Amino acid sequence: MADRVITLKGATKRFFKKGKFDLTPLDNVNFSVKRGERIAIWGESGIGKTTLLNVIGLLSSQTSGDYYLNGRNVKTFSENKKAHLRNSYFGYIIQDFALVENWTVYNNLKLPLKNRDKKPKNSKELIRESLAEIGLESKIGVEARHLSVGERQRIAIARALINSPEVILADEPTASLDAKNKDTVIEMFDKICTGDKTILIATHDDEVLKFVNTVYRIADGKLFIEGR
Amino acid sequence: MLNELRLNKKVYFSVFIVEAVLLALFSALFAEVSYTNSTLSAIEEIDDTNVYVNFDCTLSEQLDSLFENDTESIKRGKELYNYVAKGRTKYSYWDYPVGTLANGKPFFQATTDKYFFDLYGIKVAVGQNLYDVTETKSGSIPVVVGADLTEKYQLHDVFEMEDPNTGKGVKYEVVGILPKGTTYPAVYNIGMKNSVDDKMFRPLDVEALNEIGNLVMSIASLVVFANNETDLRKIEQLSKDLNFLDMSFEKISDNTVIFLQEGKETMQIYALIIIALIILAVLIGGIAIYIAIKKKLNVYIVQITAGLSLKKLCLNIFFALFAVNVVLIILSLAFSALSALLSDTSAFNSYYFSSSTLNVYYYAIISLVFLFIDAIISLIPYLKLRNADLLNILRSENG
Ligand SMILES: Nc1ncnc2c1ncn2[C@@H]1O[C@H](COP(=O)(O)OP(=O)(O)OP(=O)(O)O)[C@@H](O)[C@H]1O
Ligand SMILES: [Mg+2]
Repeated sequence: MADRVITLKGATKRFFKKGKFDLTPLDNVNFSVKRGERIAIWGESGIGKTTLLNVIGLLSSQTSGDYYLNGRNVKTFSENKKAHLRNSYFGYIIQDFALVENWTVYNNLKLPLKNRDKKPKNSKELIRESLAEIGLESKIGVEARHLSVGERQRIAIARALINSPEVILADEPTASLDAKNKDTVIEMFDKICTGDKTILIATHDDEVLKFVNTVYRIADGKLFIEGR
Repeated sequence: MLNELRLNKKVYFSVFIVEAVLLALFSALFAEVSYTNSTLSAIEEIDDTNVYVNFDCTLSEQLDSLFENDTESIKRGKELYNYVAKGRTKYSYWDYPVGTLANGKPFFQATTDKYFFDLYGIKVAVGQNLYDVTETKSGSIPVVVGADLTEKYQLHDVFEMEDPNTGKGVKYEVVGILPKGTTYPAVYNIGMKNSVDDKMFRPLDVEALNEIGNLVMSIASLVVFANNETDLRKIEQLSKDLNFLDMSFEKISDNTVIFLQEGKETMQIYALIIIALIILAVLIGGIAIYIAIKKKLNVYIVQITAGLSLKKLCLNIFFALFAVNVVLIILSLAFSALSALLSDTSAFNSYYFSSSTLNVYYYAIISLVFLFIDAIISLIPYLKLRNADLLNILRSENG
């Protein structure tokens, strides 16, 4: 159990509004992730990949069932604790809109630093360093909306990683990228994910599969192991 | 907080506008309320006693004859005055415009008893109270002056002025200066207050009077505190018998009851308007913020994934609103200071403290009201989002 970072037990997520919709993208899901694993969540559009990452990333909670994080039931966590975990334990690269469009790159990268329990004094340095690593130092003062798609995705990744999270959640990180940018992003992940870092990538991109150890497929609210 | 401000510029700007309107209305209402309040207290000061004021009906022929036989008239007048003074609480008060200006306004020479100062609690800010002085260094008559007159007369100044009743020049010495803004109830005009600012007060000593003009005034301007009506009728009768003045005392407290009632009703209406405005401000602010959060959902999701908690989000909103208030209050303070400077060069005169404490009181209240509004507005998203799945409630309305 100790090496299980994430465990879902009978987790169900249901979206329901009378007369409008009744969806169960996660239906009694049992799922666990070991420390250091690289996992891909595979599935067609609208099937529940984002829903799963949101539950795992503590952005939303399951309708029923349990979620254990490092052996502790997240139901016992306070709002503050969850916010703290979102800030420092998880690095979440959100689908499509991972940056605040009309903020500068600097302000976007500063967000996770600002919400730390102890604000670092050398924020500017940390931001510079993280930009230097992805070769985008010169974009520090540029507003996110002026960046190219590839640059934007790299910044989004840098933002998710700036607090050195244990678990990285990436939602379709290569979706709108060309071949060259795709390679860059996958290389980035490869470089980061050493040792104990755990990563879950929601994707329907073949390229990404080469980088992971385990592929899960979502269908009908269930998770199936597709390959290792 | 800055990010929050930048993010919802329009929302915070509309809150700013609503609160500016609230501030303006509030200051108007506050002025009204404090006016009603002060007039109420003016009435209450004299309400529990039966106050009778002489509405004099003496004909001018009668006055002429009094002035012709002045030695005889003085004797009769003193007899009448002594009768009134014996065992009764009373004061005389009258004033004349001097005919020159002080601080751009005409000012008055007032004559009154010690009891007037005692009753209304009028005390000097600097120097000595009028009736504490028995003799001035210069040997002239002591006077205390209102704040407007300090432009002309300083403490210990000695000057000569015509006595309006005798036409003779009299030497006065300033022994004290009254605090600016001091008032006393206008007994002839219920609910109104008169200011001491534009007046100089000289003492009244009827015993020592030896001319008819001032004696007539000290009797004609009598305000008598009595417990029964017949007592007043006796005074009127004696005055007739002595062939002095045609006096007619009227009880003023009859009117005060009505005025009190009206005043309280007015204040209730103001209280209702204020409450309605606060609710309006809260609703506009709260709804605007909530809609803004929903509309800029992606920005908030990015912040939430970066570790922003709901509490922090609401605190950010609170501090953004607080910043708006601070700016608003500083602007209005600057504005009122500026207008005070422009309209009244003596604004920083040391006698001004009584009205500036009113300002402090007013800003303290408005600050509290604003803080209350801020707290409620920032609580609205908190209460709406607290028990919900952060992301889902933000993303779409689902059960
Ligand atoms: N808050 C919500 N309220 C109602 N329905 C929702 C909500 N969030 C997601 N859904 C629905 O749940 C289903 C799963 O959505 P989800 O975003 O997890 O899909 P996905 O696999 O990530 O799709 P994509 O590949 O397009 O990103 C979809 O049908 C979606 O419309
Ligand atoms: Mg998705």
